[in-house]
Amino acid sequence: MTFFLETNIYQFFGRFHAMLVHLPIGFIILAVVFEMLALKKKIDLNRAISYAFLAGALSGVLSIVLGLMLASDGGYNEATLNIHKWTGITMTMIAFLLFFMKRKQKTRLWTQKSYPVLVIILVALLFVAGHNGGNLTHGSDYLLEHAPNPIRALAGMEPIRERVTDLDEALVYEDVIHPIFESKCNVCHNNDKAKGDLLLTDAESILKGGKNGNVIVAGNANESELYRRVTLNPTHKEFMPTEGRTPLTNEETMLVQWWIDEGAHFDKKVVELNLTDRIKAYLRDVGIGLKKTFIENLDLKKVDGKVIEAIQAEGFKIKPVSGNSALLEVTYSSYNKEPITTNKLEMLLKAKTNIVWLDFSGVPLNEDVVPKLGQLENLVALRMSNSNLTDAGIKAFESLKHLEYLNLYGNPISDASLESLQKLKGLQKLYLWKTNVSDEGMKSLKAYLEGATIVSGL
Amino acid sequence: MDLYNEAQKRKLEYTTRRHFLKKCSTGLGGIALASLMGPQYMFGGNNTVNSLDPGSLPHFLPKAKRVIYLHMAGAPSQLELFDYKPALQKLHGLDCPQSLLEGKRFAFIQGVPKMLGPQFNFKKYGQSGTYVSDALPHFSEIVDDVAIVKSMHTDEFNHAPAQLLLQTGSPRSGRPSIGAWVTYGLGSENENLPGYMVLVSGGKNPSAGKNAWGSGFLPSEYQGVQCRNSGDPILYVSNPNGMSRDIRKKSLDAINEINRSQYKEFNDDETLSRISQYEMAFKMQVSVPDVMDVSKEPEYIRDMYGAKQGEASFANNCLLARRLVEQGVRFVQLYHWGWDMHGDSKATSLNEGLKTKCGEVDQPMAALVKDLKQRGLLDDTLVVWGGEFGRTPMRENRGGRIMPYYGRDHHTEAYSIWMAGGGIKGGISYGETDEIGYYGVKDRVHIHDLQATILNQLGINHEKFTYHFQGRDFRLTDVHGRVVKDLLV
Repeated sequence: MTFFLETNIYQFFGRFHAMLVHLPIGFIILAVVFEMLALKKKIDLNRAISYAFLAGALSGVLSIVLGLMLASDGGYNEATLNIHKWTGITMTMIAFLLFFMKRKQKTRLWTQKSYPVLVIILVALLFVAGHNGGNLTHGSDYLLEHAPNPIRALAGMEPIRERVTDLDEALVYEDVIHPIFESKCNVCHNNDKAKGDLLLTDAESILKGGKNGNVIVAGNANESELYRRVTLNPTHKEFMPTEGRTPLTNEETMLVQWWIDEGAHFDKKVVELNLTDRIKAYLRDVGIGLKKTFIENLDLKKVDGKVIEAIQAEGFKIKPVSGNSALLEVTYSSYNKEPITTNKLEMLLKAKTNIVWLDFSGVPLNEDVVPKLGQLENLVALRMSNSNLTDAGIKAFESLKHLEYLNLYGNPISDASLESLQKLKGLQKLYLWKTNVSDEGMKSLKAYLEGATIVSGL
Repeated sequence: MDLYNEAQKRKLEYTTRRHFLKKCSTGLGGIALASLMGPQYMFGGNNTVNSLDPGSLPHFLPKAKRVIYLHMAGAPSQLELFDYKPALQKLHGLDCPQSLLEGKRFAFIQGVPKMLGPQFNFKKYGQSGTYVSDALPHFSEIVDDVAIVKSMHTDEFNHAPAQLLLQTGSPRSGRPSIGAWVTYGLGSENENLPGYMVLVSGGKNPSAGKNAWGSGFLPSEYQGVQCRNSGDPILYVSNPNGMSRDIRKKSLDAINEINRSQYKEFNDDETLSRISQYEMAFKMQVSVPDVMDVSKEPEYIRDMYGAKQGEASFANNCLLARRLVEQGVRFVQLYHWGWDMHGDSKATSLNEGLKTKCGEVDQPMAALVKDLKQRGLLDDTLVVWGGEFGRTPMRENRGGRIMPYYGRDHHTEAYSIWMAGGGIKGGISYGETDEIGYYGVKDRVHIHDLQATILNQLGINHEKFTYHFQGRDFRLTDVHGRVVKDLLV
């Protein structure tokens, strides 16, 4: 038997249990459906029903044998496993019984009376066995993991804790590490299926470790079994997660390493630990400390496709800033022979709340057109270099409260525009190269716009 | 009476059109069936699988909208430019220890070479205190806007495959280049110019040839359009004598009309490519001579770059690159040939040849970054500078002999590139090499990581950006690549 020396032959066959177990389920349901059909339509399906029960019973026997093999590996919740085992065995016996009863239904009276009772019991047991089997395979949290909170409350589960994503407030275990374990490890390391006797569901069980002892050495990731297992070569026998489940991403692995190296704390906040730029970047990857910019917080409805087409017909290039975003960026190529007229701009303004980036650089603008740009309330970046803007035009930009980037290089504007520019407190970048703004003007502007980089040439 | 002819005649009379149709039923039927099932399968088109939803890209908010890639073909020596190794100076002239040579293959080094110290002096520059060699005085002025990656590494130690790996993600020809991928995904910002343009200087095309800017299996309209430095920037861009623009327009319209009906019939994507290429060519007749005209720049700007009209120089190309991105060209690629300093002649020596090459690129590349910056273009234009691999800390000893000049062999394990703008941090050096610059020891960055990072800055997830070809989905980064987060703002 050298063929099987290296492998666990029980496990090899045992794992077919989860597949084959669906055969008795199907046959039994089929028998019940036939029975109901026979009652309703008054037709004789007795033979079919009896064979369906027989097939259910026989495949049930096979499932039981395979199930016992699978369970021999251990690591399952004993109570759940016991219920599952005995409901399965009982079901198989009832199915045999029903087969015999169905064959001789016409002969004895007592069978006629007890038959429907047994069928109802069998169906009830089917649900019990099926549910427990699911719990053993996926964990008892699996079914309702994504259920809405009211349903979770009915099932006696804690409501989902709203994950804290603010860098200053987030807890290192609850908000960073626990979600990683939940999504990648706890399918097998949970209360119903503690593979290797290891649970990763809460602090206590993580510290308790598994059958080979501790999995975490606080302060030393390289000595920690848990870290070793997730960083092995994926083809290694001991690599985790096993069985072809999705491995941890590079970022998640680094965060687990950082958490252990920093002492594997369960109650500390992220900011109480040593935070490098790199760790911050990894945290952003799992959704912690993403500083949402103004436009990322904007929640707008998409502009109607017909409006977009009408704007395009006026010569504007208009498209979402990314993918399916409702936010729009607009450009008008300097290759367009027609100037931007008031009529054209009126059409553009039909999408005014959604326009966040606007590029009119190199396009000369008339004085009657520019003031209308002040209506673009959510504009964040405005590029109007070499656009023949005057001081009078700049006045219109005072209402662009969210402007972060403003490029005005190559426009004949002077110190008279400073008063308007000073009001743009949100500015981060301002380009004033090749304008008539004086050096003193630049200096005074810098004092007003502390957060902004002002580029006035090199 | 000719019996044979008579028999022939009878036979022909007997065989009617019906016989033909009857006998051909399987063949004709097959053809009919194929055209019913899907005409596109008959002509190599696969427009159902790859119909790129125009709304799907970019995947997320982009930091950069355009890329200027300055490829130093031939591979400049990182040890003479960016990666300062005083320890190597101390080992200068000593035999290379056996431990560095065991199991290694070099392009030319044989036996035991001597160690070769850095041939230029280094100083710290900028607020960031970045080390730059004396060979790049202008570059030292922009270090605070630039991220230098010192731990690049690649898989290929010969020029052509290494250039292909860098530009197409595969060392063998046939894959689309990064510029083709990007324009395929994001399109052009200006309908009057190609989305992907290529300028070559230094006297030669790169070793990888035009594959380096090919479109591979992507529709051919996304291949890089190479512009010439003298004469028409693009061959046949001007109309021949006697052909007016109106007549040209009419003839192109007629051709496109025929192509369109052809497409309706056969659904071959390449027909669409051809139509858009004709339309683009017509627009380019006006736009290209205009944008490629350096004389339209004021003199002080030309002086800043060191550009002279009519020269096939890197300086001119840098200035043109700025003009192109200003007009919304998505991907501009510059190749400057001649960095292959083996030390077999004066022109390929570290002391002479490298100095000349540095002189050719130093001022223009610094001017490019400065000029983009003052125009506010650097915020959303990513500039990348670098070769296809690095050079050895050992002196080259081709054929086991001492070379007439100082030179270094090809080296894959460690070299330096720099990036600027487009959401890349300024004033940082990323990654470290060992004391002699032989191996990257910290934060190594592979070619695929660089590609993933460039795509990331354009708002593209390199793992999701695929094209179905020959039965499988292809990616620029194949199955590799990780975005280098530490480089990002």
